[in-house]
Order: sequence, then structure tokens, then C-alpha cells
Amino acid sequence: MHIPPGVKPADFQAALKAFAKAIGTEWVFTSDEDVDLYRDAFSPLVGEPDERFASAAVAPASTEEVQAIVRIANRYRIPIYPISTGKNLGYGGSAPAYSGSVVVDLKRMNRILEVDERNASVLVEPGVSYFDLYNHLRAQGSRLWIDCPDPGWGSVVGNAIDRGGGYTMASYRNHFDSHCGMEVVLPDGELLRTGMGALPGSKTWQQYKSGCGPWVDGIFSQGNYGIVTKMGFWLMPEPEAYLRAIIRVPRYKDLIPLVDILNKLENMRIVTGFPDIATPLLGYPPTGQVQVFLEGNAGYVMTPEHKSLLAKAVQGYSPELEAFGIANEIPYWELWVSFYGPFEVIDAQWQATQRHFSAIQGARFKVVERMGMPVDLARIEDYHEPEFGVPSLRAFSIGARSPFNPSPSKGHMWFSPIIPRTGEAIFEANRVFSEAAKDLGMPLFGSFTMPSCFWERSFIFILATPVTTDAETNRRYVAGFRKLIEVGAQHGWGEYRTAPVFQKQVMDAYSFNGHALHKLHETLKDALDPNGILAAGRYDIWPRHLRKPSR
Amino acid sequence: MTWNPSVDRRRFMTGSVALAAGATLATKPSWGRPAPDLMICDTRCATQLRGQDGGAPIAWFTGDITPLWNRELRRLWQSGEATIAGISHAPALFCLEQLARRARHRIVWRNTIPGTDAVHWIIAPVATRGWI
Repeated sequence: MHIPPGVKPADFQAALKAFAKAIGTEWVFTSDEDVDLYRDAFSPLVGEPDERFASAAVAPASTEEVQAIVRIANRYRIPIYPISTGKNLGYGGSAPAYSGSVVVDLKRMNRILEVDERNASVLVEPGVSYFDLYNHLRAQGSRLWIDCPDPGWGSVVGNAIDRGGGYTMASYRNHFDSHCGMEVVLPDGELLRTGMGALPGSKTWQQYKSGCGPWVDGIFSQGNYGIVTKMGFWLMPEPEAYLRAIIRVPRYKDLIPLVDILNKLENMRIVTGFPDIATPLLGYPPTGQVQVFLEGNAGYVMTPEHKSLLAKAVQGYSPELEAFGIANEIPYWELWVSFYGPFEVIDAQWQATQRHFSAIQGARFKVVERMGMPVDLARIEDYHEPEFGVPSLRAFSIGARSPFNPSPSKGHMWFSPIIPRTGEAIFEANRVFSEAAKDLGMPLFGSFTMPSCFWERSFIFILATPVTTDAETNRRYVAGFRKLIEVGAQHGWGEYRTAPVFQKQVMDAYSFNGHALHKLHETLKDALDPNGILAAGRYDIWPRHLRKPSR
Repeated sequence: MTWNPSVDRRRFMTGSVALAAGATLATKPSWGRPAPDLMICDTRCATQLRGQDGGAPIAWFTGDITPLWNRELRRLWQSGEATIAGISHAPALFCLEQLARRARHRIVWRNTIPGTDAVHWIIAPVATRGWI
């Protein structure tokens, strides 16, 4: 059995006994087999001294039990690390940021407390997965959609707290932004409700986010200031119809107006669904369709001449390649857009969309799908399920051996800098990161990488860095990943989320005015968690007794 | 070889199950080990099947385990401890392993079939010991 660092064995034993008394012996896990379940499946440090381990795990079933655990942790100074379902793979999974912490596994807190069909909202506990919520809504005959990520096995609360994203309408895709109201156990065991939930007997906890006075919800996302035990979310009413269409443009430089026009249309709520940029000429499918391509059901077939020109292109461009594309009607860029709503509305939105994009010379338009809702579940595998609020695990087919993926890796680390939502930024990020990756010998790119369009006002330039079974290779990739963080920061691009192994470095980059933000984080930590028991080190926020004078 | 689900399902039911899995747990009550509660087979791995059928119900899937999860596994693991055995490719097994964790189950045995991407495996309650 591991013992948390700095904790006396007798205190740890006493704490375990107290945990068992509070929540039941069967929900305190200390065997190696049990504790191993909390290792990060995608850790690049697997088998290395720095791999993060839990010392034990506890699984409370209620807010009161969470409070009891927190109070016991304070009494014995036990570091604890809450997880909801622990499926944050590629960003740390279920392993604690501070090795030796006791994982507080909230999987048993899996109640869907309220579904308000009229307000299109839910109140859930952290152990509720997207599958759970989806199945519950369907069983109830609800006409509400969830917005879920790829894959859909994670926690609705956990994904929002980690600031994950999904694939339906813009106002639901940012999962933290679509929440409304929290219940939080603070590090001293006190119970807090945010927004209108602070008003006893409130009738609008899931209807108005901010209540009155300073709005504090943000500190509980990617933070270590409390354990969220309930969280409200706004859901999307099932639309009457759906339309998906493609805008194709022929020239390399067309990417710039393509993005600008998209931004305008999204910001005016004309394009409402998940936009996706692909490049047939460079052979890359849209993000949301990747698994469809990898499963071999679709794809860009290239002639030998096309492949030869592509191989000679520099960062995805050469005049010859562009001329080849124009001559053969292979678009340089494709923008996949979608619309949700009544037929008369989505048809009008598509018309307006075409009119705006017609400003790009040579733009072509195609409707891929136009259908009434609900979607035919018997045909759901023909689509990217999350765009219809249907959770799936199909994304894992990306990991299978295929012509696109001849050497499957063990896992991956997500490198996820936020870049401006412009065509110029896409070009620059490709240039900068492909040059860096080449220098580092990292297998990050083909000839070009397209950003993800989850957020309305920025791109995420997501790169999957493989995790292998070879420790030396992993060390090299971790070093390379660190270099990419550095290179990104030098260009004004910070990551929006990262695994514990990189959190210090990523947060170091947010250094404006002598790390003023980090200092505030530490001030809050000291005030709210003076014993430093909760999620030490998460996003490099350490309690005073574990702090190193590094900045 | 062209995969014909109906023929191979019958062959699977009557003559075979996961090769080592079938040999070690499905039909050996004298070893003191229960038959699995469910067998899971990726249709794309069916040609790798050998051994004896333990009589457990069989659930089929092709690549993506989502339908299997929604249809059977979720309820099986919600109802308590259950041992499942099967054959699949590594990504599907990874998904099963992750879902099993939440139900306090783990992979207790796995064997990659040489020269293929198919994996035989057994997932059982976490405290299970002494498989192979």
C-alpha cells in the first residue's frame, strides 16, 4: 500500500478507518488491484518514478458523505483528489495530480435529480455520465438533447469542470458555459450553492446563472477549491430539422475569407451547428467525420500525381498543387456547416450562408443532409452521433489499425493551444508547430493540421502526441511536448487544458505581470484550503506546505 | 474469408468460444471457477475462435461497443459482479476495460493472438485472482 507523502502511517490508517466509518468499509479501496484502477491509462510516465499513483480511493454516495470525507482529510492532513468518472483521457484520466493522494471517486453519486422539460435544464450529480443522462432522457420520453463530447462515457459535470466541448449548437457546445448553478463542498467541509442556489427556496437555480454579487463558479473549473456535488445544465430542445452542407473553395488563400465569413455568420447565429474545416486537396477530413474516414466508409482517394505534388508542397502549399486542385475540381478547403431548427428557418439560413460565401470566387455549395428530427437511431452510425446529442464510443475506432493508422499507439496526450479564429492563424500555427515538430522528431503531423471549431471565438489547434509502450520514446515525446508548449507561448498561444504532467509548464506561461494570476490562485488556495488537502497541484495550484519557490 | 454472421454465430455457439478463455473458464467447474456471465465477440475476430463453448450467452458487436454497452453491459455491471470473456481488437478491449473500472472490474487475463490484432481476454471483479 502507498502512503501519502508526509503522512504518518498511523494517521493514514486512522483516516482510512474514519473513512470506512463514514461511508462504509466496502467503499474504501486500498488493495493494489483496486488502486490500480485509478492509474492514468494514457500516462506517458507509465512505469516511471514520476507516474502519478493514488494511495487509496473512497467512493461516497452523497453530499453528506463527501463532507465527511473532507473533514476527515482535514483532521489527518490527507491529500484527496476528486474524480467524477475519471475518463479525462489524454488530459490525466483518473490519476491524482499529486501522487499519493486518496482519490475521491464520485461514481456512486449518479442521480439525475431534476429534468425540467419546460426550462430545458437538468440538475445532476457528478457520477452521471453522458450515456446515463441520454438514456434517462430517452426513457422519460424527453424532447431534450444533450451535448456530449467524443467519446460519451465521461461525466457531464466532470467534462464541464474540465471545460470540455461538444458538437451541437454553439450555445451548448462549451460545457462549462452551458451550466447553470452548482453545489460545492468546500475544502473545510462547508456546503455552498452558487448563483440563485444561494437563495433558500430559490425557484430559479437552473434558470439564472449568476445570482447577485460576484459570480464564483469559474474558480471551481480546472481548480482545487471545492468538490462539485451537483450541477445544473441547460439542454437543447430537440430541433424540428437538421441541415448539413459543404462550402468548397479552390485556392490556398481562400481559407482567410472562409474563416472570416464563418465567424460573422456564427456570431449572427446564422450558422448554428458545429462548423468543421477540412482540406480534400491535402487529404484531411473534417474533425467530426474522422472516425467515418478511418473506418473506411469514406475518404479522399488520391492519384499518384496528386500524392507526388502533395509530397513536394511546403506546409500544405505549392502553386503546382493549387493548380492541380483547380484543374481537377479538388477543393483546397471544405467548410462543413450545419443548422438546427424548423425547415423554413434552416433553409433560409443556408440561403443566407451561400450568399455570404459567394463573395469567394469559385465557391461551390452542396447540401449533404436535410432531414426532419428525431434522427433515425437505426441509421445513427451513418452520422457523427454527438451532432445529434447521441453519446458514442466510436471515436476509439481511430485507435484501431487502419490504412490511416498502421501503427496504433497505446494512447495519446492532447496538445491543445488556443489560436485566433483566422485563416492566417491556421497558416502560422501549421508553420510554427510543423517546424518545431520536425526539429523534435515528433510524429505530429501530416502535411497540414486543421483546428477544431468547438468555440465560437477561437480555434483549438489540437495535436495528438502518441503514448507508446516504450519508456524512452515516451520520454522523448514528453520533452517534445514541453518544447511545443514553450514554442506556443512564444507566439501568444496558450493551452486551454492539459494533463497534470504538463500543468506547471502550461500555467507558467500565463505569466502576465509577474504571474499575477498564479499569485491570485495561491491566495485563494490559502484562504479556502489552509490545510491544503484538496487536489494539491491541480493546474499547478499548490498548498503552502507543498509550494516551491519556482516563480 | 468472407464473414457470414449466421454461419459463424452457429459455429461459435455450438463448437467454440474464446480459445484459452473457453478452455480455462467456460467448461471447467472442477477448477472451481464459474462460467462467464457473458461472452463478447467482435464479428471481425470470429475466425480466431477455437475451443469449447461454456454455454454463456454471447453478445456480438462490430468494432464499436456502444450498442453493446447500451443494450447489455451497462445493466449487467449495474446489477453486480459479473465475469465476461471475449475476443476483440485492442481498442474495443480498451473501452471495455475503462467501463469495467467504473464497475470495479478489471482485466484478469489477456492474450494477443500471434500474427493478428485479435485479443482474447477475461474481465472479472477486481478481487478475482488466480486466472492464468
